[in-house]
Amino acid sequence: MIRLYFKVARSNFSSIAIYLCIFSFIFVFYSMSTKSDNNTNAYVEEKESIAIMDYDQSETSKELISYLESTMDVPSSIGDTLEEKKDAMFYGQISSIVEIPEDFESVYNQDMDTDIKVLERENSANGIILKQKVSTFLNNASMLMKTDSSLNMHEASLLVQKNLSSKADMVMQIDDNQDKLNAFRNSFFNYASYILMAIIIMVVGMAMMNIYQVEIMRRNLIAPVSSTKMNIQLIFANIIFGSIIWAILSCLIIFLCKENMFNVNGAMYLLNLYIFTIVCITISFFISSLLFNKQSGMGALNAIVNILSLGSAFLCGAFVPQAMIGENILRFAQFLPSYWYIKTSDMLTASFDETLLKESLCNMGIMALFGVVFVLLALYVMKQKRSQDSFLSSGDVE
Amino acid sequence: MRHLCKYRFLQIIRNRFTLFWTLIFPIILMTFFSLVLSSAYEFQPYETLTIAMVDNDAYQQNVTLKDTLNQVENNGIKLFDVKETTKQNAQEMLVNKEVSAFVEVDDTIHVNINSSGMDETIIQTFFDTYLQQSDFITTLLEKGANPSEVNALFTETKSYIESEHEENSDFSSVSFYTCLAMSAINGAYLMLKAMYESQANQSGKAARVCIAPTHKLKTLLSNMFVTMLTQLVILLIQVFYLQMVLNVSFGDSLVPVLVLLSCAALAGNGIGVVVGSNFPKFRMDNKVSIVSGVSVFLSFLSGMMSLPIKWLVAQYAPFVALINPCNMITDGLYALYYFGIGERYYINLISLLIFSLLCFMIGYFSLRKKQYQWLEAR
Repeated sequence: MIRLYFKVARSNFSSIAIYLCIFSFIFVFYSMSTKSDNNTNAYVEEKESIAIMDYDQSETSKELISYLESTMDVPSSIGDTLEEKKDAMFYGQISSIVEIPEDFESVYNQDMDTDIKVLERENSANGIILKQKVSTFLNNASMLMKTDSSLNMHEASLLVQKNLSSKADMVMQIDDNQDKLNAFRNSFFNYASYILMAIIIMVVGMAMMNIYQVEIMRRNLIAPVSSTKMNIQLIFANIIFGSIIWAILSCLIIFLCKENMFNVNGAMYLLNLYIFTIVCITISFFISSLLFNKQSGMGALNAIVNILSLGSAFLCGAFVPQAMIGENILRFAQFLPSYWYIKTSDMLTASFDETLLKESLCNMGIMALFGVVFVLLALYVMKQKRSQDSFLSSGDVE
Repeated sequence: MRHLCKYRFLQIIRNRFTLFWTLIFPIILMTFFSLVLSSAYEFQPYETLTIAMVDNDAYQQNVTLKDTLNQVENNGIKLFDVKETTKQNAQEMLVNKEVSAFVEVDDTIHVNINSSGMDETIIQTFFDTYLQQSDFITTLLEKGANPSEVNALFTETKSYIESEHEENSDFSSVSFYTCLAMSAINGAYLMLKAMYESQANQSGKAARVCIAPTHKLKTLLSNMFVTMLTQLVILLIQVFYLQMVLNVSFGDSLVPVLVLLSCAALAGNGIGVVVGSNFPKFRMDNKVSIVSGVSVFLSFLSGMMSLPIKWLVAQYAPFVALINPCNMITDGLYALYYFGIGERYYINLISLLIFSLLCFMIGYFSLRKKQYQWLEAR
């Protein structure tokens, strides 16, 4: 049976390869887009990113821009036009856009209120620092020029910037870098739940659907092997296949998070992922038993895979953290194994102790229970379908 | 032609599998999006930060700092809620996350924090500015400024800035657009089925169709017309669902949305033509896998699973964004929503038309003048 399973899997190699390649690429691309290169333990000021449009092009506006560039992050790669800058703001790459109006210098020199426009996203609180910095610079420069009328804007700006070296002493009380590495590792394992579920259900389902073809089943049923033994061998073959996929994904994650995988939490993560793999296999086993002897079975399998993998990923927190998902949605998500996998994964960002071990094992136990339920359901469905006359008489295969 | 169209339409609506992929699946996905993203991408309004100040002599004597901490505001909301306490208590409060930072004043200011984030940066900026202003006052007094005017620097009320909040900046709307884009690309399933049933080496039904005295271009055009029209109706149902049920905005007018979606339906069918007319050795299942994988992959690149990926691809691999039909649809809808009708919308529209034209040309050249010496029975 195991040999037959892998023979069938080989005959579907092209589809399996397509899925593996596409999802592996998605996984690697995701890792590249989230990779953090911050390896220091010291406090790092999260400089607010802004963009500036200078319509005045005066000495005062240039001095203001130079001040903002030295105190904030003004990325140059986001383009020159207002539309490109608005685009970057929409996608969260910058928090605000400062628009310096044409008559800015003349209004400022007359000691009147200027109308520098700070464009922010709806309900955004990010502009506080920017507003504080602009006001401080303009106030101080104005005060300096009033006090000493021989100073021009450039000299006043230099004097204001001279004081920038005075800074409060920032003290980190805990190892923040470890937190970041943990969060980075966690995001991989959470995302892996989507990739793993999609690949396992699709690939295992595909192999099972082929084995469950009427002609092949007829041949198998006349063999001197009991139905239970056959099913156990099938489950065993699936576990071998799932283990291979788990090993590939685990190696990929270990390679990408190598600095934070060789510890107890790392091992717990891999165990959690392995149990999830087994649960996905049982789900796939159950789905293929439902689709047994059905027309358009492959199409249905495709549909179920996408709904189940994307749906679980969205509802259980693989793409968006569980902390940001509404309570009612999470209550519903508890009926899905991905919820318990991601919950354990999130818990493992904390440092390892006995309570964490107990809670993680408890969650893994709940996941395993899902697996047992799916296997029992699959065996029940198969038993029902094998006893139907239609199985032996129909050639109902597409 | 009328008959060809009629029976193609009947085949489409009787095929539960393709209808599921093109109509039901995107609606289910949109509902998932709506359930999760509405709360996840909601921007939290600014909330007062709680900080602990170590109650020592240096702090008690620094009246200016105490007053400033209690007075400073952002848009009418107090910046800080200050808890004065002992150092030991303050440390415990920080560990228990009751405060964002605890601050100790001696000859300088020590800000103790537990992580690097926006709250910590706001706290740091405040205390940095306070120290810089103190130094600046010394500079001013050295230059002979009037001390009473100098004091006003801490409570300056002059307005330099006019804040403006962007309208139509709901981040989650783009997720729904990616869903709609995926749905349009899934239109490829409709065309795939039509192609499967019109090539003699693919199915028995197709072999019978091919010996009929009908020009292949006529068959292709009628298939294209019906599948495109069906796909457009499906997309309209989804737009209606998004707008009426899930309250997703598409900007000021629906007409340009409909024009864009027509081109999107064309592009989706184009992909179906390319996959359907090539890979003759692949079974229908394999072709479905190709379309399914490609559609998920293109949707990923246009930001379906993580929105910033769309922006990153456009920044660092603009060519990929330019040839990705899913991105053209998403970006076109986004451009309409955020900027209104303009150059960007038209660029996406024209790109979709060029993409579709290329696909149909590939399909036509793969199918024309095809003859078979023998056909396997299927």
